[in-house]
Amino acid sequence: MKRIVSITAAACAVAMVGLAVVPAPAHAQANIKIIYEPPKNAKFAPILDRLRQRKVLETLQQFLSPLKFPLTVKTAECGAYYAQYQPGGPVIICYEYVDLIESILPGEQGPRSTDPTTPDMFKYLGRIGPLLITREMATVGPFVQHVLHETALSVFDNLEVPVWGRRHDAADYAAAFLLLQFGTDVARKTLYGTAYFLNKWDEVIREGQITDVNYLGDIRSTVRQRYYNLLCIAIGKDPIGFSSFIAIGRAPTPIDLPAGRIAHCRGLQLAGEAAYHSDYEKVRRAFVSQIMSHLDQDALKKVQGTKWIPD
Amino acid sequence: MTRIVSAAALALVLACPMVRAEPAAAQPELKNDMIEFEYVEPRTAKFKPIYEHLKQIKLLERLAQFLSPLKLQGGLVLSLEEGGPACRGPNSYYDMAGKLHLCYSWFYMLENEASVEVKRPPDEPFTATSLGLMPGFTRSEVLIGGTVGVILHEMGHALFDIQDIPLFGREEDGADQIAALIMLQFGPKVAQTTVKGFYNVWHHFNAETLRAQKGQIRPWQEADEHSISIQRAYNFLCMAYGKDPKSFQELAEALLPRARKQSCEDEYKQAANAFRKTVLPDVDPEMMKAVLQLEILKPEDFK
Repeated sequence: MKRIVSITAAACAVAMVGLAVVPAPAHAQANIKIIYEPPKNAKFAPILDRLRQRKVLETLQQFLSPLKFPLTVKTAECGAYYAQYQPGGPVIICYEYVDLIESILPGEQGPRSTDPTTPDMFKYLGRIGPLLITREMATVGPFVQHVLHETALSVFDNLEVPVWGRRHDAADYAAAFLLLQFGTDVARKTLYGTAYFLNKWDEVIREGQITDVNYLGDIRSTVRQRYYNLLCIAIGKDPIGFSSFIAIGRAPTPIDLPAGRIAHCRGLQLAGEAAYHSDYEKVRRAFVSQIMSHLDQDALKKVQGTKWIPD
Repeated sequence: MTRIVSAAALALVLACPMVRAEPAAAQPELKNDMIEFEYVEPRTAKFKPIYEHLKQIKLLERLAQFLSPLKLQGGLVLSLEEGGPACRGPNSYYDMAGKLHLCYSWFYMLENEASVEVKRPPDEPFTATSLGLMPGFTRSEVLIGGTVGVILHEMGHALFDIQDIPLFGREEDGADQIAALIMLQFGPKVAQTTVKGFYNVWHHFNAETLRAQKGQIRPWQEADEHSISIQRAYNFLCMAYGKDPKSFQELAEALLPRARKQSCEDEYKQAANAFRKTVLPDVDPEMMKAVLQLEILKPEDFK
């Protein structure tokens, strides 16, 4: 447990702090309030300690500095994976969700390097399709995706953004869109890692939940639907970079985005239909028209110009 | 066939209240030059009675009137047709090129499958895999809800495309939200009829799929750009319960997962906010007033 937490904290710090720290604009310090809320359950205390030690929220504060409206971000014990967002309320990252991410990290059962000079991060590898996933990727990806998802809900609320489609799907789309804005390397590491996490999570819970009315009737899409939604945006933007999730020259598996969905995600022409925008392009256009003008452009340039994850 | 005709006519009377209104002298004509329509005679014999009767009751003329207050940025053609492969399924669709295809296959399915009571042994309960008409639902509700629902859903796609409406979420769910939102603006009775009917249609489709998949939901279903059929049923009912918990309490208690009910008010408000910001600015206020004078569409519902 300690090892995983350490990796998580380090990965989060790497993800959120990066190698070059951006000086946060003054207004960000005032607008973005951060709180590390102590958990009641001692199980989560190590997670809090590491997050605090690595200044994850402080770094997030800088990452969110382009936002012009007041926002509180806190880590807390929620009693569930998520704290339902309340209008005007804080962005809450639950220790339970971080714990979930850690619980399905690539383990020692998978491919493992026997070379003693291999760095720790490469000793334990998971797999999704043909891709090998490091623990760093499996931690950083879903953690950052989750933070962006929860923040997107707050942005939708604070700016009264018109959202068509289910809100949590929109937040997932927005998170995936944002992860694609920091260069190819960041995009692939975080989205591969998130895909690994969602795929594994679905495998773990699928048998017991997939026909449960509470699961299907939830405000959120199923985990597997979220997995495909993530791929939809990623392939919509970069079909070559994410071609590992397209069954070309082989039989399709549940890992792959099916051809019919790809056509929609890419905005390709279908029988009887004209070509239209990819889902990625729809989100991009919505982001530009509804959110961009509400961001501090100077701060945004600094955030975009920062190397958040090392090579 | 008579039943579907009368049901479709009723659906339009409900959904297009302006067609039964006595036009006041000062009221604008409910006509929009950006909207055209066409009835395409079917090749298949079983669809011909549907074609003849829907043409007779002026389905598309009335739909064009219903849409007339929209200040469209591009032309819209309403086509009732047998169509090609995209109409099989059953289906109806918007082609992203200004044409809304209402397929005879959809109306045929409503008439002959989703609204039909399937006989079961006396001791066999109605379950998730039971086809056809649900207990406590009526055939006319399914015909009305299924007709109004599909028209409004495809109209949602048309609006997203023609009006270039920003889309953060999944478009198919957004089109369902537009359909549900409009269904809920005509008073509790119309809302009950249309929401129940459309819920039944999605239950029927879900039952068909569960039977074919031996009770399981497969990943390919979750990969689809549409939500799973039963999710679509829940989404409609949740919007309705969120708008009017009193009228839909009994239905929600019976059909909606308990945890979901807590978020329904927010889900309705989200859609209403989106409608107010992205659709309402392009609605002609004078023509809208003509609709509002019928006291079925209430302006306060969008405030």
